[in-house]
Amino acid sequence: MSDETCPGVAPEEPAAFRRERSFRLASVSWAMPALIFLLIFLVLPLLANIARSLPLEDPFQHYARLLGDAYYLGIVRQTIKVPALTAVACLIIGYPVAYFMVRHAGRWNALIVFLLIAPLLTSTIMRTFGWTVLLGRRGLVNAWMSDFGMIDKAVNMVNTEWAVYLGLVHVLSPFMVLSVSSVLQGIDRRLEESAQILGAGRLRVFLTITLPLSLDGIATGCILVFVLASGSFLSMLLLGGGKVTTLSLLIYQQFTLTQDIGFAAAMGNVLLLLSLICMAIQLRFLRRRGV
Amino acid sequence: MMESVPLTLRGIAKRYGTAHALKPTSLDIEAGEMLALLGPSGCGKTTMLRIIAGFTAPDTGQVLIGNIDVTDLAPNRRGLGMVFQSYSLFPHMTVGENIAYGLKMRGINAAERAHKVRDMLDLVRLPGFEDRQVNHLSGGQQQRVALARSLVTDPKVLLLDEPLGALDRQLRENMQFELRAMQKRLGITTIIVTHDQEEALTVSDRIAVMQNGEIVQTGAPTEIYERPRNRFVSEFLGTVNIFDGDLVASHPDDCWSVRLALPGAPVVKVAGSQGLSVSKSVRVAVRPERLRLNGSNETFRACIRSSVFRGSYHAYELDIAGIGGPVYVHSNEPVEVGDDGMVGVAWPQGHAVMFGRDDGR
Ligand SMILES: Nc1ncnc2c1ncn2[C@@H]1O[C@H](COP(=O)(O)OP(=O)(O)OP(=O)(O)O)[C@@H](O)[C@H]1O
Ligand SMILES: [Mg+2]
Repeated sequence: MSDETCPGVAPEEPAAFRRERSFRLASVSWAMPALIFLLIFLVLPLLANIARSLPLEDPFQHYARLLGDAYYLGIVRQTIKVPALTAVACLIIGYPVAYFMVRHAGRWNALIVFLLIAPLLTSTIMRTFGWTVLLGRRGLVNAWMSDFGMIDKAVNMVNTEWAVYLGLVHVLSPFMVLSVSSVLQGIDRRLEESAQILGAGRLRVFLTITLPLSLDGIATGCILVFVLASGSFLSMLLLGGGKVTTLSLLIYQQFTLTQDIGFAAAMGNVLLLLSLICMAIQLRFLRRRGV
Repeated sequence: MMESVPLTLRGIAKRYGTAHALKPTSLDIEAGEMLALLGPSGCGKTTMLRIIAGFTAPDTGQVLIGNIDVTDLAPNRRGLGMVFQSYSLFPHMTVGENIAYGLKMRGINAAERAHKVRDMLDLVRLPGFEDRQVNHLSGGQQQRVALARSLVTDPKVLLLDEPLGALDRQLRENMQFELRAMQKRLGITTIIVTHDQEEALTVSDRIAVMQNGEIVQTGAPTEIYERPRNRFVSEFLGTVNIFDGDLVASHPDDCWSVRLALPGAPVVKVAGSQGLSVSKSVRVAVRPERLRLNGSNETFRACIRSSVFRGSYHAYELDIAGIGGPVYVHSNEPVEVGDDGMVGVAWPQGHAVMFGRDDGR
């Protein structure tokens, strides 16, 4: 991050500097293929998308509709609310797991990391679809609950808001655990021990030392989960049954059903803006810490 | 200021698996005393300190602070101060907040906290540093802040785990004297862990030398240095010359005549220890600065292999026919060497010690 070497033109640079400079030049040219790839397949399509969202006859009609119409504004609000709540839920579930992993798991740590990552190798569709099997009217959960006499009649659990959150949290909580645990790992235990010897009990140590020092991981995890949740539509599509509509789901629908490509492009750009704001927040966070 | 209290360890021991990190150890530290735990890496110094602090539970034994058994007390209830080698300052707090942390945990109000922090910063000679960021401080400054943080709560006992290890030589020597002066002024019972013998000699009232998880000798710095109990202690405290010898006669003043395994088989007088008998094989240790070159009464002759000027003294490396390693002599004056490159070496009266052949190996 911190780039101290200035591009000054001192005539007599030390040898080490010169070597570093030429190395840098080389590294920029090595990055060219990747840059060209990104230009063609990322930057140009994004620009095209912006152009598409601004039709010549009335450039801002799509944006006006999106942000003026109460229905669409509600969806934009939903697009912030659902990922935000998902991030909070992931944090509440993921932080203790990460803490346990780093502080108490010892040699089981590697196993837990494996168990966290392994599900990421199967497709999200499969994992989300699994919930419809479990939660369905004739699914495992209903069967158990009626076996134990907790319910008389099968309860509908799919196609509810709850199911959407369940699906999102399930898919995204590993990201939270991994980002929090990587930061927890880096906290020197002796800081906690110093606090303890200065008179702090376990809870005070956690609240005054461990938690503040892991804020970076919390922020990273929350932003990651937020961005991924706001971009995903599978949980809403498969588990929400129309009860939860966010921009990404709407884009999917606009594209496949209505074929209103200009409007879909405008929504895509709003979504992109949302993600960029998140990234900017995270960058600020990192910069403040001087990482 | 708080009354000084003694610290007592009664048979504390700790094992990790089958390895003894600390063999059953007892130690009495007087109120207001500064004790240095000295030993090579891995000998159990940190383990002992962590048991006193309460981070590690001993397998057996008790820790008594001021005659109160604290063995089962949590670290935050023991009323100790501790400085780690890495200082462990809280990176998300300013210097002032770091020092005030312990006061805050004791529920002391903000005005009094600010007052005490200011006093502490004066004590460690960093006045006005309250609002500095800790990671912008130099190593020496961080060290002082860590010390201030551990002292501000008036701890009963201060534990220092290699507190000066990360400082450069010059700063370390200054800090040693400062630490010593501060400890004496506050009269706080202190244990300092170090593997640097000079540091131990400089700062402490008493040294406990550790080896393989046990204390092999405790005593005042001069005693440890001049009267090491075995070969390990003598070698750990600095350069030493070790000669083989045999006891030939005892004297009424508790000294022995020892015939050294050197050319000419010189017989010298060495203060004795327990359990010796005539014709027993012993080792005799003598410090390089105690041997004299080219004086009267030369005991044996040696050939100078090399000489180095070390600022405050000249260091000579001597070869003696018939013994394995070189003999070291430190002399304040440069020595005149004859054409044959030989010098005479005089044995010092009363400055050699001896121990059995296999002690401390
Ligand atoms: N948590 C632990 N688990 C297993 N072995 C340990 C543990 N802590 C210490 N040991 C072992 O106990 C022995 C003593 O360790 P200790 O840290 O007390 O040494 P030390 O004297 O402080 O050394 P150094 O000067 O290197 O700090 C070492 O052999 C070490 O490997
Ligand atoms: Mg240690």
